[in-house]
Amino acid sequence: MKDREKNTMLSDAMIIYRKEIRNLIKDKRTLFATLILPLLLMPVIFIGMDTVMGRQMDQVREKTYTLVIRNNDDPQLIAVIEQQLFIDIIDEPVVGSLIIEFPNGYSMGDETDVNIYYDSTSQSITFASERLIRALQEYDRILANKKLTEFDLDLESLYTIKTFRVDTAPEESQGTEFLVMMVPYLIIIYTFAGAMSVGIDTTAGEKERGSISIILVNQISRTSIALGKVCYVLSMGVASSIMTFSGLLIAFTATGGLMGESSFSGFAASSLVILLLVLIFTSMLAASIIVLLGSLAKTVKEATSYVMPIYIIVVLLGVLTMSLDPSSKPLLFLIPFLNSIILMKGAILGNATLLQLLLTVISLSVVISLLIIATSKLYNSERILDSAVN
Amino acid sequence: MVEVSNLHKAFRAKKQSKQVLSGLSFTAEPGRIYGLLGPNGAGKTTTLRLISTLLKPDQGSIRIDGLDTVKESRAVRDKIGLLTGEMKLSGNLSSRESLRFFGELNHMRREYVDQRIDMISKKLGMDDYIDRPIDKLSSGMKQKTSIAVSIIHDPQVIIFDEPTSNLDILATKVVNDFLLDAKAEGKTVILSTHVLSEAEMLCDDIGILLDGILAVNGKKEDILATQESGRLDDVFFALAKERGIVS
Ligand SMILES: Nc1ncnc2c1ncn2[C@@H]1O[C@H](COP(=O)(O)OP(=O)(O)O)[C@@H](O)[C@H]1O
Ligand SMILES: [Mg+2]
Repeated sequence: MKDREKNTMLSDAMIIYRKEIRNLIKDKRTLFATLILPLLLMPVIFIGMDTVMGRQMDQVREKTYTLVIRNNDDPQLIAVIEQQLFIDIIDEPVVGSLIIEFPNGYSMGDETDVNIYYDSTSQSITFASERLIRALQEYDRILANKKLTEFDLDLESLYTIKTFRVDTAPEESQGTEFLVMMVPYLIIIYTFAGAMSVGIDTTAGEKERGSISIILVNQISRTSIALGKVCYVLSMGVASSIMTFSGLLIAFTATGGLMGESSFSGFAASSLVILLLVLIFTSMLAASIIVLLGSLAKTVKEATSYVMPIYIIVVLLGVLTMSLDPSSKPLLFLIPFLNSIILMKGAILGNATLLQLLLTVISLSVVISLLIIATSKLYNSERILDSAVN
Repeated sequence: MVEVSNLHKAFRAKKQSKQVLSGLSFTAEPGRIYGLLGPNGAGKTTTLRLISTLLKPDQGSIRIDGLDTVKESRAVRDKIGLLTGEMKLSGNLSSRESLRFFGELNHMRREYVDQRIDMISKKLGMDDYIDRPIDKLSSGMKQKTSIAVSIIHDPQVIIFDEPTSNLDILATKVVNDFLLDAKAEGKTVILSTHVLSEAEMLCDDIGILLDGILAVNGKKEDILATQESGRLDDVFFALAKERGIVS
């Protein structure tokens, strides 16, 4: 009789796992796409956006705008506008001009409506119109002050409370709050991408190469084979998401000033832990979906066509619920992927709770387990042999 | 020895049940090559998968050296080496690494695996490229690696399902030489093919699978003797005519 090793179900699964890893290590391209790319992704997006937006703001601010002022030639008005914008006063509007229109026959101190005409399709002109509103508010204060002096009063004496809001974020950071809110979506997109190529290759790819039946005819059980593959894809998904997370940290550090305190209230360690946990569980969920669908499909192409719609649904789910306030609806944290997205957002804003984390982790664990059981059942059925050949 | 008796197998696809095998019986003996012939879709792959424990019969039974493929499937898998024509080895692992992996899958001790690899590599002439990545090998070299994978655990029964269907002439010769060698060593060989000339050249016994049963089953000489020409394709056409498949 032949020499035989005595193995358990798990050590058998590790045979498959080790072989897949060995094969992957020699595949530089896939390795780069699953591990290095996610590390670079976030820093590139953040630093890139930071630079681009900063430059755009500079341009918008330094530009000289043409302005027509109708029915008011008060030099004080021009003075307050010049505090806000570089302007060129002209008589008749040209393309790209802004217009401030006081009513016909306006005289200083009248109670009146003032219209600002601007072209909202231009970002810079929109910016300029906002600055004009500020200037007119300032002008209004000046006029009010003038009226009060006639009664021996001044504006200061009417107000008893003065509030100052000091924005500590450097000026370039305007608009990055949006970017921060995009982080969960970028992460969700990448959790799928990380496990996709390895997950489909080891399942549907194996069928396409015709090696699946050979793998099944030997001493290790089909459950072990399924588990080995699941472990492989899950660990690659997790590795990939840890790289995404590291990339995120690098991005946050590199653009540290940019985040300021307005969007990250200190970004506590607990927030980081929650982000990392959510990331790991979500990538495991994505990976187990991919392994199951890859095993159901007969070809790589078919597998991709199964995964894509789910991918899109998940992203849509996130986008459609972007403005959802989850605080009063704990049950939302039982819905896979949706819970990941809102919990990540909560972590970033510093208002995620332990209960939300707990519900999310429990719900994701249950779904992941069910998917793994289904994959293992599939490997034990005759269906796993279905390939494009028959 | 492989004993197949009264094999039935149906597949359910889209709520319809399709009877593929309905009472298939034959015996393949050690030191001989049994050729399972039939047109595409006749059920050759299904039969070989049933023998390899990949599928379970609806009815009937298969014994490999006396072991039942359903009740003793693990022990049966130890005795059989499977190779299919659809199998395309690929990847960055070398032939040696792949063979070690399959050795592990068969629960063989490392020293024994390495011993087998040396032996098989020498026998098939793989020494020059056994440590090269499989992706860098020629078709003949890949084919030898596939054969090596199928016999790494030294099986008594060799089951090849249309092994030459995707191969060029050189790689085909590798397979045929191997099969004749295995026969000479006293292995039981079952080969499925739809290439009649190949069967005529290699096989000792022949079964022609039509409509879920063996329309013909026996020694090659006896079967060829039924036709004046003594050619297998005439046997085939006579059968097809009998059944109204061709006019
Ligand atoms: N898993 C399956 N599900 C449904 N039908 C199948 C399955 N496997 C094989 N068949 C059908 O069984 C018949 C025999 O197939 P097969 O054994 O592959 O034939 P051969 O190998 O002789 O070409 C074909 O008609 C095929 O479509
Ligand atoms: Mg076939």
